[in-house]
Amino acid sequence: MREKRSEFERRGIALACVVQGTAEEAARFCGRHGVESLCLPDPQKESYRALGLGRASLRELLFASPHLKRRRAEAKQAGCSNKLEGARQKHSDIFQLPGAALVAPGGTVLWLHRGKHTGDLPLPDELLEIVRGFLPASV
Amino acid sequence: MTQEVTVGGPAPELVYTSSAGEQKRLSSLWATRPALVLWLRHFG
Repeated sequence: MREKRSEFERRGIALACVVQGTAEEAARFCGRHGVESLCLPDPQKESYRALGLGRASLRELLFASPHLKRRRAEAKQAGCSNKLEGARQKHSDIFQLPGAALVAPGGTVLWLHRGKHTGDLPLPDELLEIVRGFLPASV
Repeated sequence: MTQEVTVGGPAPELVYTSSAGEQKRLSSLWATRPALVLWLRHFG
């Protein structure tokens, strides 16, 4: 997301990444990826539950689907692959599924995505398309 | 926060501690402009 961050900002979209750890863990992790200011900590995973995000099974992690394998490769190429160190963090749940939401000013959810596997999060270009679809005035 | 979020409904609230130690609200993101929020899985 860091490469596309300015494009979202240019369109007037506030961008944030909720992560599972404490403020210190989030700052460390996100600082490593150059997106410290975007990361919001949710160590109790309250917002994950509120969003209805599920958890993967061990089988799904060990025997990745072709789509998950492709997403893992893309993440690795972008320098964002998951590492064992991260999985060991106190608040880190490796089975947690990701999600995303586009929210209108005032707080109404315009678009919602609940990941079906651990790599099921739209790519930045796909997210930009979604933003264009829902908020054409921001294009 | 017991009601599950749906399209057309309110976005989830989250009170979090910033890296500066301040208590902040997720809803401040979309107070005046649209927001795209990603929920990442684990630290890596």
